[in-house]
This record gives sequence, structure tokens and C-alpha cells, in this order.
Amino acid sequence: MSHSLLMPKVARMLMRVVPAFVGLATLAGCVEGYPADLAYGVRTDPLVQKEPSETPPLLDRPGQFPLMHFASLNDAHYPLRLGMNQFSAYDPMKLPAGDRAKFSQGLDKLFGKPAEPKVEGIKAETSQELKLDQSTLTQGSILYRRHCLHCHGTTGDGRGPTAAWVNPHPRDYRQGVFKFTSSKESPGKRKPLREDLARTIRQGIESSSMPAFNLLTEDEVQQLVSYVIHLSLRGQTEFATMTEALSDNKPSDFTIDGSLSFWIDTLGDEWKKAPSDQIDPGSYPYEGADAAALKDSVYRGWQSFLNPAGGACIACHLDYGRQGPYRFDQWGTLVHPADLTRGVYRGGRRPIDLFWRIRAGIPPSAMAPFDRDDRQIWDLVNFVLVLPYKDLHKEYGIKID
Amino acid sequence: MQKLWGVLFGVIMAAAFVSFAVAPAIGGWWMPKNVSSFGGSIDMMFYIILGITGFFFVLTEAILVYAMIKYAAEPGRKVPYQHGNHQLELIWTLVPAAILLFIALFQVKTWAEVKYQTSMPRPSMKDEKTGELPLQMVVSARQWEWRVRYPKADRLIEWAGDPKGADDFARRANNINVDLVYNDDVHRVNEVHTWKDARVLVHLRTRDVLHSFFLPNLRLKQDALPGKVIPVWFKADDANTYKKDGRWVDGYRYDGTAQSWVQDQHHVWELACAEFCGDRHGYMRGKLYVHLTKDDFLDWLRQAEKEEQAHQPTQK
Repeated sequence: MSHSLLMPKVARMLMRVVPAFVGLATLAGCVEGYPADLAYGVRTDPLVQKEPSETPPLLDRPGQFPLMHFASLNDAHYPLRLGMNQFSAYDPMKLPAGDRAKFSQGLDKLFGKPAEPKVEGIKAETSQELKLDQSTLTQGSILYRRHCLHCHGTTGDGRGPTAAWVNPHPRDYRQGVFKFTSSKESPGKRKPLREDLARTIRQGIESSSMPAFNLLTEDEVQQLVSYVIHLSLRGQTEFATMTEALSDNKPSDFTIDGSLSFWIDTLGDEWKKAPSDQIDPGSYPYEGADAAALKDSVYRGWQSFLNPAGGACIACHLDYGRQGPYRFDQWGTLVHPADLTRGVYRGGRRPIDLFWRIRAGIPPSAMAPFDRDDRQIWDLVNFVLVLPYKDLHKEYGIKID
Repeated sequence: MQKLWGVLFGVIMAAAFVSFAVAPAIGGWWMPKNVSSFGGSIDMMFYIILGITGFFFVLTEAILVYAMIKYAAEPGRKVPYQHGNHQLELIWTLVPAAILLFIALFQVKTWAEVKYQTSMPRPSMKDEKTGELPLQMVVSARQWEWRVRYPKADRLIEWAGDPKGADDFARRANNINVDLVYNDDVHRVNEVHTWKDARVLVHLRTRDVLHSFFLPNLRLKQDALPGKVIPVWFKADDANTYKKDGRWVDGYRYDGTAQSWVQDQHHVWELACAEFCGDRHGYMRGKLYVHLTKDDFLDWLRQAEKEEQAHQPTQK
């Protein structure tokens, strides 16, 4: 009896709830891009000026970032500690509230919001060459939200939801520093070429969590490159201005807006300059060479690797990288010199990629540049390319335990 | 009132049946194009099982809907008590059991053709018909991409004369402790290349978690297990890759009569990951490129080799 009275009531409720639910579910996939009112926000994590030079006492654990906020820096479980050798950082939360509001307004004026990104305050030529027009950036923002946000974070801080759980942690663009570049500019001002970033996006970074996006169209890759440059410009403008605002010896005429304008203009020039700084080794000295010449090259490369006066690579890549010591890189991630016996090269495995790594170094993770002549570096490259293959060692006269 | 529920149920079941019946006619709602040599047998099994299960679906649902309508609850209606019918229960247990046994035995041949290692092409054994060695490659899955390694073109040509080299490649590829074969291998990402009618032997491995090597157009799926190198084989019997402006692109069909290539969206053949492997599992995709001839494949391979051996900055 009660059975037949209850059923229609339940049925009526279901008839209302189910279509509403189904409707919501279908709408969930229909909205592209960031919500219109989302803002990038002003950073709250420490502005690291210099990472510690000592070997960290502990490894960072899964789910842990080395540099979240100052409170953590006293936590016994954090690998970084205030008071570590040479470690210096500023606390953005020490800025007065009025100043933080000025930062927020100033940055939004120059860089817009995630749903409507823009770059103002750079020369028109720069904007054109770096493809920082609004339509490219908007497309880039939509793609970034779908593909990159979960690791690299909304502001490009490398702190998306997935980020704490992968090792190495995703790149933080906000220092304007990148590892795999082909520019010979000095480390403080070095910027990657658009093509360097595009290559990283296309081929991924083997042995890290950065996958290859070579199934995206070329246009999509270029839009993402523009958006990454936008995030990097924003992040570095914010970083540099905040550092000035917090430092003890800022100039007397310092204003936040003035400093922001100065930095965006300066950094825009640095990015624009990058293509003219590309390292071009000219012709490969062993082009068409016979096996004997290559064999000699590999052997010389090996000697160079070991020789303190030559490459001295073995000094950091201890035991060819199998026992490389851990240290902090510029982003606070724990890294060690690459294990060259694995045959995995993060910045690309082509000979020219390895040439660039050796010639220009990887300043953010303390790989020194080697200003040797081209032939010596090609010898090193040829050696490195043979090193992972044990059965080739005898053929090339290399003896490694 | 109660009868209405029975009718509604019947209508929904009928709609489900009709949607199945019309699905093949609606673009994209049925199986993707099959270009695999063993795809036909797999699809045949699918249809036979679909026929059997379809028949029993209609039978059982029709009986159920009939019962829901004819015997719907009404005020004052009493339920007769039943002890069950032993003979009926025997029939409807033994008949399905026999059918299942039939299916289990019937599928062995197809399974063996695809999965048994004895059916897989031996690296150094030439095909009776074409005289070709199988094309070997190492597919190393990792979160969230497919790292593919091919022996370089000169090696493939060398092996045609001296097949022992092919065995050596396979032996090294199967060394679980080392994820490298030769120092001049061609490394690509998310691209599986072969040529029409070539037997392909894939050495499937994974660098981190479980993945699954799934090529829907080849009716091929194989889980990649950490700690194992698993052999996978296939033969594609249609081509989809055309050299446009000096670059090899897929999405083309070769028209034999006109002797020209025609763009065809059904000729984009995907590789997908079919075992949940983390955040970007859904984006872990790749593409299958089937060249028309071995020479076309070797042309692509040499082009790839040159790109990988770049000693100068290039556009790519």
C-alpha cells in the first residue's frame, strides 16, 4: 500500500534531479579557458636570491616543495633551512598591504588576467617578434589551462596540483631562467630562443615528467611558447620589482610602478635579443670522417672528460655521473649532475643539443660553461654519445669500471 | 499504473536494441577502420558473440517485459507460491554453459594468432611471401608518452643480407636492465612507423607504471608491465602516409586506380594508452604511420636519422 504511494513521489524527485544532473555534467566539458574573473594574484612564496651552496642534509619527500613559505623553512623536515650557507631570500609577505595592492594593480595592468593575457610596456617590435599579441596569448592560455596548468601552475610557478608529486619539480618560469637554451649570453641575462622552448614542448624532457607534445599542431605549440614567455615576463618583472622593494638599499626615487615599467622593458629586450645570441658551431669537423677519425675523437673526448685541465667533467660527474653529489638548483629543487651512463639527456639527444649544454653550460643547476674550441667540445660530445654503450667501450679504447 | 513501468522498461530496452542496430550506419559510432591482418578474425568473433548475446538479450528481455506487464501488482492480487521448475533450471544452465564452452574453444585460434609467442615473427626469419625480415622496434612507455626506437636504415639493409644482426637487436632489446640497444638507433616519440604488409615485431616495455599499447585500427592491445619486455606483433594491410612538401604526413588514402593520394580523415590511425597511468593517461596518445612501400619507410627513417644527428641549429 505505502509502496504504491511512495513510488510516484520518488519518481517525481528523480525526474527533476536526473535531468539537472545530466545537464550539468554535459555543460562541464563545454567551457574553454580560464574563468573571466580569475586573477593571477601576487606571489607569497620566498624570493630566493641565492640558493645554499652546501649539500642538503635531507632529500625532499614526495608531496613536498623545498620552498613554499617562510614558516616551512624552520621545519626540520624541509631540506632547506634559514641559516644554511649563502642561502638568502626575501619574504613577500613583509610588504605592507598597500604595496601588495599596488603590485596587484600594476601587474594586472601590464599583464592582464589568465583569461585575457597581454603584455604591455614592451616595444612594439619586441611584441611582434615574440608573438605576444593578445589573440595568440588568449589561445595559448586556453591550451595552457588544459595541458600545462596541472604541473606548472596558473602563474607558471611550477606549483600546480600535480607538481609536488613529481621529481624533478616542474619548471618555475618566474625567475626568467631556463635550463635548455642555445644562447651564449651571460647567465644573468640569458634567455631561451622561441625555438628552444618549442623544442622542449615538442619533444618533452626524457627522465622527467614533462611529456612530449608533438601531437599538437605547430600553431598550438607556438601559441604555448608565447604564453610561457608571457608568464615568464610577468613572473620575473614581479620578482625583480619585489626584490627591489624589499631590499635595504633601494634607490630613493623607487616606486613600484616605475620599477615594474623598467623591468618589463628591460626583460623584453633580453628576450628579443636571444636569437642573435644563438651558439652556431659552424661545420662539424668530422663530417664524412672515417671510423678511425671518429674513434680518435671519442678517445680524445674521454681524455678531456677526465683531465682537470681539459673538460674536468669528472669533477662533478663523479664516476661518470653514477655518484654525482646532490645540490640545490636555482629553483630550490634537489638535483645532481646527470648520470651520463644512462643515455638519457634531458635537454635533447641530438649532437647539437649536447654541444649547447657543454658550451653554454646549464647555469641554473650549476653546470659551468666550457669555453673550449669547437673541436674539443665535439670530441666530448662524441665520447658522451658512446659512453652508455658498454660493448662499444673496447672498440673505442675506453676503460670504465 | 504498475503496468506503465513495465511498458516504460520495454520501450527503453527496445530503444537500446535499435540504437545498436543503427549504430554502424552513424559515422563514428561503430568500430574504427580495421587495417590489421588479424583484425578480420577478431571482428568476426565480435559479431558472432554479438549475435549470440543479442539473441538471448531479446529473448530474456521480452520474457521479462511480458511478465512485468501481465503480472503487474494490483490491489487484491495474490502471488502464487512456486517451488521452481527443476527441468527448466537445468536447461537454462546447461545451454548457456555449452555456448560459453563453444566460445571459449572457438576463440583459441584467433588468440593464438595474435598473442602466442610461437606465432610471432622470429627476428631473423624471412617471410615466405615477401622475403623480408620483420621490422623490429622498441616501444618504451613512460608517463605520459611513447618512446619508440628504430634500428637505423643501414642496419635494416645489412640484416637483409645477414639476419643474425636482427637476433642481436632482439636479444639486447629484451634485456630488462638496459633501456638502450645500439648507439645509432633512431629515437622518436609518439610515432609508430611501418609499411604496408610488413610484419612488425614490437618489444614493449615501460619505464614506470603499467601502460597499455592500444592500436584500435589494428585491433591490438597489450599491457606494458614494469619489469618485463613483452613482444607484440602486427601487420598493417593498408597505407596512410604520404610525402607532402617533403614531410611524411598521415591522413591520406592511396587510390590504386587513379594512382594518387586522397585525403581521408578515417586514415588517421591512433595509438592510445589503455591502462590508467596517472594524470595525463587520456592524453597519452600517438600515431600509427603506415607507408606504402619499404622504400618510403626507409626514406622517412633516413630523414628522421638526419634530424636526430643534427650538428647545426635547425628550424626543428
